[in-house]
Amino acid sequence: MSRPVLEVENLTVTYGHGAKRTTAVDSVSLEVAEGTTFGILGESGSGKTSLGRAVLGLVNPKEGSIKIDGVEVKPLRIRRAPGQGKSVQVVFQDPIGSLNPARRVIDSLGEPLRIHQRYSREARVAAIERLTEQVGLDPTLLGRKPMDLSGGQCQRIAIARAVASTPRLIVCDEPVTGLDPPTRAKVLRLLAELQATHSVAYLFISHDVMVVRRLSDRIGVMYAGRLIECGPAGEVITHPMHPYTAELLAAAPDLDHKHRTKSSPDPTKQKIPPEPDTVSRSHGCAYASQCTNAQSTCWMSTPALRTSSRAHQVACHFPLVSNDKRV
Amino acid sequence: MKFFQDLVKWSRIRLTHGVLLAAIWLVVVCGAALLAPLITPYNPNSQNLLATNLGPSWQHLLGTDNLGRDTLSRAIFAARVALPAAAIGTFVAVALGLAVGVSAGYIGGLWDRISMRAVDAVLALPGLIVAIAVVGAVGPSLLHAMVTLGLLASVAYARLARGVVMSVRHRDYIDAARVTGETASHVLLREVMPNVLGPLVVQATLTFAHMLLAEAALSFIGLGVQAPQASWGSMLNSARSQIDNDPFLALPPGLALFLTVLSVQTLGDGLRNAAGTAGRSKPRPLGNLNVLASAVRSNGTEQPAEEATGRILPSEPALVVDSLCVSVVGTADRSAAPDETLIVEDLSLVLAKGEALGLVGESGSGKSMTALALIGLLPPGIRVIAGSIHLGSHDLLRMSDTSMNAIRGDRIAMIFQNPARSLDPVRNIGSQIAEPLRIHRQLSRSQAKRQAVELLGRVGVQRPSKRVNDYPHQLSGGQMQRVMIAAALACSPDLLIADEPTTALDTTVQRRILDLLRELQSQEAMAMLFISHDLAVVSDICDRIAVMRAGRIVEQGPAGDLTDRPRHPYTRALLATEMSLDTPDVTLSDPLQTSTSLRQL
Repeated sequence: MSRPVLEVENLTVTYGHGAKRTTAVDSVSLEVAEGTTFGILGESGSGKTSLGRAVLGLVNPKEGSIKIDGVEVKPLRIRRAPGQGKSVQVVFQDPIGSLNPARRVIDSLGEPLRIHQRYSREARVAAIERLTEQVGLDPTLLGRKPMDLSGGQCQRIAIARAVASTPRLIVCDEPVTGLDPPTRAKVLRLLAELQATHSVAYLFISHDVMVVRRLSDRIGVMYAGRLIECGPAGEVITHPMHPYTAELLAAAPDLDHKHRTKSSPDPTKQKIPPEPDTVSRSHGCAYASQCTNAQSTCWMSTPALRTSSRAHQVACHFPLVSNDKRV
Repeated sequence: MKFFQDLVKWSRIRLTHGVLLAAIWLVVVCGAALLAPLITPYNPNSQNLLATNLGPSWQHLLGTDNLGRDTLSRAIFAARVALPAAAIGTFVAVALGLAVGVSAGYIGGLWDRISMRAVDAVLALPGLIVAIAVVGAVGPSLLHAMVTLGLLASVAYARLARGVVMSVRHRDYIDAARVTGETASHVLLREVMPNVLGPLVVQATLTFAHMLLAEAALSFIGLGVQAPQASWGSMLNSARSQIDNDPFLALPPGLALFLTVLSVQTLGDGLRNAAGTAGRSKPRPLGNLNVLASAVRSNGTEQPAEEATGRILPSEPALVVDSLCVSVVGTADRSAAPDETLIVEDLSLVLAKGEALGLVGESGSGKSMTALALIGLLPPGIRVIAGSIHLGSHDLLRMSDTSMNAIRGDRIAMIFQNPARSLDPVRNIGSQIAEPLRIHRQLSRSQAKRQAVELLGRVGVQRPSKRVNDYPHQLSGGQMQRVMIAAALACSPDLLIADEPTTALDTTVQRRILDLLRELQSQEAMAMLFISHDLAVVSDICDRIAVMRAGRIVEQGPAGDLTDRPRHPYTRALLATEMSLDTPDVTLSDPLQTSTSLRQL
């Protein structure tokens, strides 16, 4: 296997100082191979966005190293040398907010070309036309401003901007969360097509199991800042080993109506599912308070990420074992 | 003329009569000032002591002053003083203010703190008096006075620019630009500055008007331009001494000053209105829906009619909506006649007691507007034009505002997408849950609080008697949505409208909220209208599903039936996009294309 595009080693990101210090990302290590998609699955507050921002150099990690193509990522300062952004790009969640409302689409798109490729004006216009064609955007929209465009159109532009400098890695932070299902499907298809043609790697961050599963080769599940499970996408989805991953997968709404059994309108039999109280602790497994098979060990020591079968890693003292593996 | 039209279009100014007149006056004044030596009939400073204090005549259109100088010529030459002076003052204010404000906002830290304290100090100085003091110290000079005034006025720009820069510097597009590798100066110049420019131009016109007045005031008291040079201020001063025997003399300079300042400010107002709508050329849904609605109308006969009416006719309906039409009164283009655009067309729904109906559609399909019409809270400019809504025996559309208020929150309750925005951050959650009870049931404070604790427990919040005193920021998103549900259920409504109640929540939290809603709904035997763009969520919780598109219900049926055997091609396409990545490329967003494919079917 060739050298991975992205190597994250023992990354820790914290915010605040002293008593107010919170750990957003806690000793996370992962690798993304060239032209593949690594899906980060997690709910709000799990640290997935902080991980993405650290990879982009937008936050300063407390510990650990991030290498893109073997080159250490340095945090962006106000003043920085141009050229660093050539290898990594970004697509954010809010498509309209990630484009400057005061600038025309064509200006936003031309920026990375101007910086990295040093095109002439004519060559730049031609390159922009090629890009808009690639992302399936109507060229007549180029003169408009973001407010005049739909969310799907803006996300295509944001993707075009990310692809423009032919990066090796694109961090996609919830790129389809605000979109309608039909638009979402189209944008995901576009991302898959671009990966096939450019062999770009994605660090794909989302809370949506369905979305991550569609695009990812490998999936990492984050909970309370830690990577708790990591493995080939099909493996993680079909045979989750961490109880949290299992809950996450079961919670995803689908069309097979397995939840549609209504209880009879009998007020004596109340079974209202309570909202769990999350209490942050310094040691032990963060998921222990919500875990159905938590035992005393879980409250005492934090489980480390251990490799199980077939490059499937899990951080749990008592991982779930699926039937077909228990030989 | 073409150029002028382009200019107006580009600047997005709405050409009202006021703005047009103001622009014409300013063009006249500027033109006259530029061409003054050519167009003035007399030398402004040549005296004719034989013709003093003359009234208007054909020789002297605006008469002469006490030294026999032509008033018209002097008034025109005075514009050559006033306009450049105001321009210098404004330029100094804008340039200095921008430099300080933008750098303070972008760099932040120590520089920000030092410069902003300096700005605060300068704000405390009275401008005109400082200018007079400076002129007193360095000798009478209009230039010195205007530069001083510009320096003092720059603080407003520094604060404005700093505010805008601070608000945009952590936006996604700035981060995206930094990741791209743009240097700091480029980020400032190309990404940040365009955002500052809009409010800046508006502020600059106001400063310009202020500077015109300041120049006149300084010249009036003799600290600006020196005699015999003409200025509107000095002309007014000499008119003041003659006010008893020639009151007309004050009129031309006074009017010139008045009209010019007024015009600059009117133009500024026009610019501000344009800036307020900049980037939002017209409300987008109107344009799109216009096409959609007409496409639907032209296609109306081909809708499978028996599908749209629904097959289950419940015995005891809680809610009956019959051929509801909601329209937007178009205000996008002032010149065009007001056009009514249908956003909900001929919508009929029946909800039985204890039934959950899911309303599914893309954004802009009119599902939220249907909900707002039901609860009688349509935004201004949007109204129901036909149809009826019956909740039990109440005819909701024929009710007065007061009786509708009595129904809202009591018989109909609603929960919204974003609980964090729907809850009042400065009141504890107990009082917010109890509010409908206090209004509709006239409960006392302590009774209401007891009820609130009970409700909180019912929606699965743990330790409710303790949590009831919490404020929204102390709760998680799922807990906040539970609070919203508790408040909605307080008066045991007949109908609960849930508009995307789980869209903003995490998957596991969404699961729990859906379970909660389903459980409560079957316990309470209340009807629920569940609105979502997510077919999977809706099929999970609802008995029946109605699929909405471009203001119409295109298909309606029992949940399992509709997802297993969709009949309408749109439902099929919607299902397909939910299922997998490898869907055939159906262009859902193009109504015309889909309607042709409909016709082929």
